[in-house]
Amino acid sequence: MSYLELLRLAAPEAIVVLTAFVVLTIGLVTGRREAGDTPAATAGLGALVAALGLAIAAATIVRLPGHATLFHGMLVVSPLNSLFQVIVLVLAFFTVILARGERLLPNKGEYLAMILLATVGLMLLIGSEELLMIFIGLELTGLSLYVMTAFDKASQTSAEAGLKYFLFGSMASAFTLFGLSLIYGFTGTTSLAAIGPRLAEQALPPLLFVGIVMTLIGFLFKIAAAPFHLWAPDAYQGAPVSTAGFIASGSKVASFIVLGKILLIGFGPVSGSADWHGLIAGWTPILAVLSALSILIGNLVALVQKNVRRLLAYSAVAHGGYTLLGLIAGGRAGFSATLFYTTIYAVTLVGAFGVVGFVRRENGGDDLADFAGLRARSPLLAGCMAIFLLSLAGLPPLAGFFGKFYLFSTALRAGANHGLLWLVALALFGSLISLYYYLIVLKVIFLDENAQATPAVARYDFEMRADYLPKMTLLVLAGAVLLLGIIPGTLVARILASFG
Amino acid sequence: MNSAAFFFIAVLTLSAAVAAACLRQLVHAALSFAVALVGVAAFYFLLGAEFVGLVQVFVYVGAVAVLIVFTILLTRHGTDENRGFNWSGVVIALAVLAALLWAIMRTPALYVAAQPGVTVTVRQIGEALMSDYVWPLQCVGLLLTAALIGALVLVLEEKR
Repeated sequence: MSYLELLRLAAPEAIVVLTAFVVLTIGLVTGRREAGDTPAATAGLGALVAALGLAIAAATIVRLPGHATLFHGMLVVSPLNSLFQVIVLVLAFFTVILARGERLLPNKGEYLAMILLATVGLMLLIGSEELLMIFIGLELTGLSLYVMTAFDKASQTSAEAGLKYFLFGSMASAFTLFGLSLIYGFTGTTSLAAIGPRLAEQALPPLLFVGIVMTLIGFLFKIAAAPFHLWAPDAYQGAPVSTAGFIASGSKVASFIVLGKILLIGFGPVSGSADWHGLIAGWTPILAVLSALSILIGNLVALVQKNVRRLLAYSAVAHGGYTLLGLIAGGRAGFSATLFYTTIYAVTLVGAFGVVGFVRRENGGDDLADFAGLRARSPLLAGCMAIFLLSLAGLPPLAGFFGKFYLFSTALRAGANHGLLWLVALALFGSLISLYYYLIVLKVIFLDENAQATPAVARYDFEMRADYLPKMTLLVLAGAVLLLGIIPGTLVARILASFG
Repeated sequence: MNSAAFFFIAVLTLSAAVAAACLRQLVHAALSFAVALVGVAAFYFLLGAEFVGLVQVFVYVGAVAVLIVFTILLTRHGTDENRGFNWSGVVIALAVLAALLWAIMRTPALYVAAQPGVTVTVRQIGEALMSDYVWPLQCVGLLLTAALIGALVLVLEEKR
C-alpha cells in the first residue's frame, strides 16, 4: 500500500471534504455583513459548489476499481459500497437543493459545509468493514447532524432538539464504544470479516453477548428503533427542515447498511432465531422484539400527532421497525429487502420534508392546520405530498407498496414453517394503522378549507415566489417514487448484483 | 504489589467519579472529574501503556478538565434548583450494573490476554499511525475539524 493508492481509493471522500472547505471559504469571504442573514448570492454560489462537488464525487465513485480492500477492511471498495455511497451522495444532493429553498439561515456557508461533512461521515460508514472506522464514521455523522439540528439559533425548539439529539446520541455512542471494546477483547480483531470465524469457534460467553447488545444500541439509536427513539420527534420537529430530511434519509440508509454488515458478516454465527416455535438465543430475537415494539409504538403514537413533522417522526420509528424485518430474516434476500426498503423510504422522506419546508415558509408552521387547503394554494405540492404519503402507507403502484411486499414476503419465507409469521402479521396490522393517519393528513390537504381563505392573488404569489429548483426537485423525487413502484426490478437487481 | 495498587487506584477513581456525579457545586464536580481522569491514567501506567497514560494526562487532565473549569467560570450560573432524587435513574443503573456483574462472573476469560513484558515504544506507535492506521488518523482529524467548526458556529454571536 502506498499513500498514492490510498488517495486514489479515497478520492470520493477527499473531494467531498475539499468541497466542504471551499463552501466554507465562500461563506467566510463573502457572507459576513452586519446583518444576520447570509446574502442570497453567497448562498446560491455555495449551494451550487456543494451540489457540483457531490456530483463530481459520485462520478469518481463510478470510476473506482471494482474491488479493493485496504488496511484489513478499513476502506473497502465493492459494488455494494459504491452503489450505496452514490445513493447517499444523491440524497445529500437533494438535501442541498432543498436547503437552498429554505428561509435564509445565517451562516449558510457553514450549514452547507456541515451537510457535506455529515455526508463524508456516511460515506466512511458505508465504505468500511472494520469496527474502528465504523465508529469514527458514526461519530463524524453524529457530530455534524447535532450541529445542523441546533443550527436555527432564532428558534428555541431547534436548540432543544439539538441538545436532546446530542445527549441521547453521545450516550448511545458511549454504549457502542463499550460494546466494541468488549468484542475486540474477545475476538482480538476489529475487522468484521475476521470477527465472524472467531465467534463461531467459541461458545458465546455472556459478556460477549453484552458487548454485542451494547454495539447494537448505537445503531438502533440512529435508526430510531423503539426504546431509543425518544430524540426523533423533537429532532424532526425542531431541526431546520432540510436537516430533518437528511437525518431521516441519508443517516438512516447508511445506518441500515452498516448494521446489516455488522450483523450478517461480523455477528452472523451468533444470530439465533426469532421463530415462534423454536426461539434460539442470539441477536435475532432481540431485534425481533425491538422491531415489534417500534411498529406498535410508532404507529399508535403517530395517530394522535397534530404536527406533521412529529407525525413523520413517529412513522419513521414504525418504518425502522419494518425495515429491521429484513435483517431478522437474514441472508442475502433479507439484506437486499432491507436495503431496497430503506432506500425508497429515504427518497420518499426527503420529498415529504421538502413539501413541509415549503408549507413552513409560507405559513410559518408545520402543524396539520397549516396544511389545510394546500391543494387550492399549490396543486403541485399537494400532489407530490399525496404521492409521498401514499407510498409511505404502502399503496400500489407506488414504491412503498413493492418495498413492503418484498420485505414481508422475504421475512415470511425466511424461517422454516413461517416462523416469522407473527412479526409479519404485526407489521401488516401496523401498516393498516398508518394508512389511517396518512389519510388524515391528505384529507386536511385536499378537503379542508384554509381558515383564512386565500384569494387568487395569494395563490399566484405562492406559486411564483417559491423557488423553481426545489419544486422541480420535488417533482423528480415524486417521479422516482412512482417509477420505483412500477419498475422496482431495476434497483432490486442492482442491489442483488452488487452482492457479487 | 500490583493488586494492592490496582485496588487503591480503583477505589480512588470510582469514588472520584461518584463525587463528580453527585457534588452540588459545579467546580467541585469538575475537580473530582479530573481526579477520576488521573486515576484512569494510573491504570494505563499499571498496565505498562506509558504512552497512552501520558496522553491521558496531557489531553484529559491537562486540556479537557481545564477547559471544563474555564467553561464553568465563564458562563452564567443557572438557578440551582433541587430537582429531587432521581429514583428511576438509580433503579436503571443498578439493573445495568447487576446485568454486567452477572455477565462478568459467568465469563471465564478474555480471548486475547495481554502479553506481559512487551513494551511498545512511542516510535512503534508513531510508525503504526503513519502506516496501518493512517486512514483512521486522517478521519479522526476530519472529525475534530467538524467538531471545531460546529462548536464555533453554535457559539457565534449573531449581530442583529
